Amino acid sequence: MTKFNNENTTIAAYRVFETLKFIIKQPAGVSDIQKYLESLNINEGKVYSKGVIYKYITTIKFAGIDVARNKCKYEVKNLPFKLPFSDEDYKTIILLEDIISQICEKNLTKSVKKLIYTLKMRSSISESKISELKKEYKPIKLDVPTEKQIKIIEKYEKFCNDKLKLSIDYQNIYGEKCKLKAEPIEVKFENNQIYLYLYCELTNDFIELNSNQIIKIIQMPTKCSTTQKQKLAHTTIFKLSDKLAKRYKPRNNEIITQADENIIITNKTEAKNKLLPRLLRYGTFCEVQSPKMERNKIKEMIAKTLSNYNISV
Amino acid sequence: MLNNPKLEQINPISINLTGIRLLVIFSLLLESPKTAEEINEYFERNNYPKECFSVDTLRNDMNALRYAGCEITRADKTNDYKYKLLAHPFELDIDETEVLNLLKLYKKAYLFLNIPQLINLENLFNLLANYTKRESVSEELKGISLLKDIDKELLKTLLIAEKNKNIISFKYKSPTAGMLNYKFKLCYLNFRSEKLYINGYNLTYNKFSFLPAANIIPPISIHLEDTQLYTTEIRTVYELKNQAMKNFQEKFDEKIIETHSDKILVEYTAYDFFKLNQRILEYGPNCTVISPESVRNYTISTLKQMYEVYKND
Repeated sequence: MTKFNNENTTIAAYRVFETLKFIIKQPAGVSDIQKYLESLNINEGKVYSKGVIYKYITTIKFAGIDVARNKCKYEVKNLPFKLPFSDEDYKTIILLEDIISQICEKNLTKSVKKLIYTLKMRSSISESKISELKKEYKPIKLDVPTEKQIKIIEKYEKFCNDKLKLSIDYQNIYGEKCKLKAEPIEVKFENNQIYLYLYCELTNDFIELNSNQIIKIIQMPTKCSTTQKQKLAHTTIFKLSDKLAKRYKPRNNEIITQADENIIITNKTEAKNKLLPRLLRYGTFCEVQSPKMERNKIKEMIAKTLSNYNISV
Repeated sequence: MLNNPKLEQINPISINLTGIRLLVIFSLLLESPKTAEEINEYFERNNYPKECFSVDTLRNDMNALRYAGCEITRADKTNDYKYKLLAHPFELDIDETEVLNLLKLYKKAYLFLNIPQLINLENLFNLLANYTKRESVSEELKGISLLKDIDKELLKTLLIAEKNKNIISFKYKSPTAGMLNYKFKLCYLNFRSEKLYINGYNLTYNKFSFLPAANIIPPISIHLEDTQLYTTEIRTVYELKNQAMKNFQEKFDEKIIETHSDKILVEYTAYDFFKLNQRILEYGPNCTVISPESVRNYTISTLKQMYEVYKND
């Protein structure tokens, strides 16, 4: 980007342009725009009155850009840079909005809502066609959390946003009570269950706890120390053989490191307490190679399962 | 770009004059590269309420645009003294977080959508991938759809065959045995482990089976004759406890037949032994097969074989 110089720039015009850039990213109120313009490093403490902001908005409107006021926020309704959306594409945007409206993980929906806002303003489909498409649209029904679950999700989302470490008492898969200190990362609602995805710095593990496993959570006064990039759990390496080796498609977080008749897979970020039952499912076609700790865990799981049939090993 | 702002009607009190000028210049450059004279001519033709601008003023405007994130070439002899807009901040700019959240949203919803809706989503993601300015994001957008590796015409034919429960024949690329010809009575399509499968009676082998749709080579033929199926149902009863019990949700093939305070008895109706075995193993130590004896013995023998791999650790 060009270095700013007050003397060779049309500065007020630049601010109008920046105002447009800002309200294209998200709907914004007068005070949001004021803060944004004041944050630009051209200002040196300059304050913008409401009148100035109104003037900038009027200028943008006059230039032919459709800006509307909705709930005290200015929204760009129609941007002159169009994307060639078909009717089906626009229906799909309506579908995405429907999905978002049913999902209660706000951290997730916020960014997709923002994306949809920028897509809608680039649509060349007329208002009348849009209302026709909305009428034609048949709503879908996702699994919706109960009121009690919504409260839990909100509580867990707050934990994630607060970025404070958690002390958790929970039941492991054997029903035994355990303790854990971990950093909250994300809340998920899947198959009518709530999951809290965590990172445990002590064991370098990702773990995903079902809310019904959690007995007690206490927020500790310690800040999460690791950034997303630093959260590197130890890698699980497993070997798949026979039919499964030929059929297996690596998941998003996996890399195939060796492929011949057997394949070796490296998995870094899947929660260990979810990964191991998945590997058990592959039966005799799968062997956990490392780390040793996980080999022992899977060995223990097999032994405990055999003990259900009164077979001790 | 702009809807022909009526420059002669400008009221400099309510509108920022230089702001309008900048937006108009930007829109002119969006159409095509322009010389300073061409830009001036446009303003003169449209009665912009100011005398023509000097080259210096225009240069300042270009600097303002550059500072706001536009990439504009210098106007010199090499380009016929034209300013050329190479990039601007209003291009569709989807960031990594938005794509990641779009992927999460897709994964939460895909099981609730029908195949045509999933095809439409894929089309929308591909369109966005073509217009977004970041190459890495474009690749990620193209990778979201779980149908991306499946021929869409083939999918449409499969949907017809599914609706009519037709017999179909097709070439199948087996990961283990190479190219095979199959005759198959299609019962239903479903997702397993994020892959689309066709499920039905394989008339070539006379057994119920499921195949990944991505391995079917188009075209497929639909037969109008019908056939009597001789399927063998495997009714298995198993006991679930701890997390497996708490998280259990009834499905069309898996139902609770007895409930106790610390365990549940579940009956699973399977047509395929491989699927059944995987389901039992995934429950791990929280599952014990009760009946039939054949499945119980097979599970024990599989577990013993699995344990062999780790026993000397």
